[in-house]
Amino acid sequence: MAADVRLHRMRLVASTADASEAASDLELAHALIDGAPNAPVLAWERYAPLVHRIVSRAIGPDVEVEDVTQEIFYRLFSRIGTLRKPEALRSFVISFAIRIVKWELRRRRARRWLTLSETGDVPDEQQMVMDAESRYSLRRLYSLLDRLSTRERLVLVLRHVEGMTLEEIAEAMELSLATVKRGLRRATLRVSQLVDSDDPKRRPTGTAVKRRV
Amino acid sequence: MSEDEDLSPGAADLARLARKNVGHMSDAQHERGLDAIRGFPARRRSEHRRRWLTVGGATSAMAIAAFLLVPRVMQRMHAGPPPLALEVESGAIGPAGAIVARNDEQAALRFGDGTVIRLGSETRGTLAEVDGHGAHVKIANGSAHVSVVHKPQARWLIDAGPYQITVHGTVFSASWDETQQRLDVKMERGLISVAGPVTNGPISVRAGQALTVKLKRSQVLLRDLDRDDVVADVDADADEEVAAGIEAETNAAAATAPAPTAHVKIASKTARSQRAKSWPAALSAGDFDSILDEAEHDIGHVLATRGTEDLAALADAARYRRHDDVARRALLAQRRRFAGSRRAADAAFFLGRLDENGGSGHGPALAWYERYLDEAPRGSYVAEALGRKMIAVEQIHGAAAARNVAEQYIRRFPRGSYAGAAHALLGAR
Repeated sequence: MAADVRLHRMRLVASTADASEAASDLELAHALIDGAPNAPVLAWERYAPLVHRIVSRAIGPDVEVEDVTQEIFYRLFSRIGTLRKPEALRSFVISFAIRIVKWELRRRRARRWLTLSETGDVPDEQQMVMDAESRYSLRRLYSLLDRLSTRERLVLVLRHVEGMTLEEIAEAMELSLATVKRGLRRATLRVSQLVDSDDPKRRPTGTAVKRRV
Repeated sequence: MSEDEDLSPGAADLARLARKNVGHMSDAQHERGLDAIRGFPARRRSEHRRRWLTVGGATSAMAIAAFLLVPRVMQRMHAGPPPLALEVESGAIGPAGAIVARNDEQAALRFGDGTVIRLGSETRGTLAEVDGHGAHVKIANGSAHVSVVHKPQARWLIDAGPYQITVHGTVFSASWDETQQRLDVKMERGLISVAGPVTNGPISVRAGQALTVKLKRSQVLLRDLDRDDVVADVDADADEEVAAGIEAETNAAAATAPAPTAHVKIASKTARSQRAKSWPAALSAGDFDSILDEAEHDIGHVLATRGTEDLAALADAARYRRHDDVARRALLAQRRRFAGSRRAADAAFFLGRLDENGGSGHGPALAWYERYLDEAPRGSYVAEALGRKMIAVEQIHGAAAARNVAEQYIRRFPRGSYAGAAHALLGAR
């Protein structure tokens, strides 16, 4: 009952334009911890776009992004009891999402070793509305990212694609600032070298191409 | 950002591209997630029961996985494989990767792994990339016969016009007619997925099936190859009655009128899944007939008890297979039972397509489109609905009345599928 009252109050607060997000986060966190029936739906409404964006940018355009996003919320709700600072729900969500993305990337790496295809599944990729050149460039970017370690990949994506600060990355990945800086330096250098040495426009006429006249 | 953090210009371009194009959550994804979240308490209970049962199995699996991983880890220590060897038969690779046929012959690309891509005569194609896992070939106009040898980690991409075909091990032919804006894919063996405009996500095409996409008419037909009468009807592009009798349209443009019995009962030679699959899974695997078989066994019960996802899958399968009556009933059940949901709104759009092409006339269809646009102003099918509304208004009230809708369409979707028709309407002032 207390949770329902809290949730009702939260809706009222949320309906006013100037309600602070931090205050709403606190209410939502308590509602989740107390098991209020509608709290998961409100959490989804508030954080699903953010989590989806982080997942898809880290993993790449893929049909499983949607599943991973949902899985993050399932696990988040199951482990909400471990939230120590209810006022920092947003940070908790981001940190949780990154941890599961890390597992997912490692799982994919293992699956690539064990199975015949890149993903282990029949190819059924989620396609985006963009021209073929952009699709190909994105595919190329993510195939280069596959060559990085999971930590370096995440640090690079969070910094250069997601635009997070080093401090935010350190907090979300539960790493020291120095470790983040080192990882970012390595990942940046590696990706830059890979991109510069992997110019696709040279490939079709490269040395491996033989012609029958 | 310090110098240490700066990406090279090429890498920075790729990062910018990812930032711009990756990460948007569609309304449909949001809605599906919402449905899943609502089922969270039930899933939590069942997971709790299963957890103890899986602990023992997981321990054994980890031991086996570790055993299998060692050789693969060793393999991965080495750099990626060199690009596949390539021979160009009856032709050569020109500047920018253009595949140039010799005289009037048909050029063929023979790759080191045994894969052969043979271009039809007068086909304009480009070899965009070759690497150790496959190649990326673009067909600007014309056809290609593709025979890909299945290999671990194979990655073959065929672009036919604006459509992308993802292949791993299969034999098929694909053609793109630039003038007609028409894609044709015929599968001989294996499985591919095709994605692009109006497909509403990837469409799986299996052995023995053919896929035709008519971009100008926003129509997609997936059929069995041995149905010659179907092929004949598909080719009768200008004949509206024939087209309405046979063509199934995708989510972007739904299936149409009650078809003759012979057409409705298209016999599928697709192997049916022996194990029970969820309807959404069966739909994404292209196994439409198993959904219809199960649903039509007791359609009343299905419509009254199945969840929103299953009703959507049933409606899609019925539209693809031209079971228009079943599609209509499923869509109406969706609207009745899940009123206010995103799928209920989508159902309005599909009902409009059924009405428009099913002989009910443009009036009822127009009402459904307006209802959809009202209920889902930012929905997945807004561009299609607005385009079809423009056509319907023109048919009912004339060109002058449709110009208002055309202006609205151009403003919102300047490069949409109906932009040409809208400009034509505005130009006829």
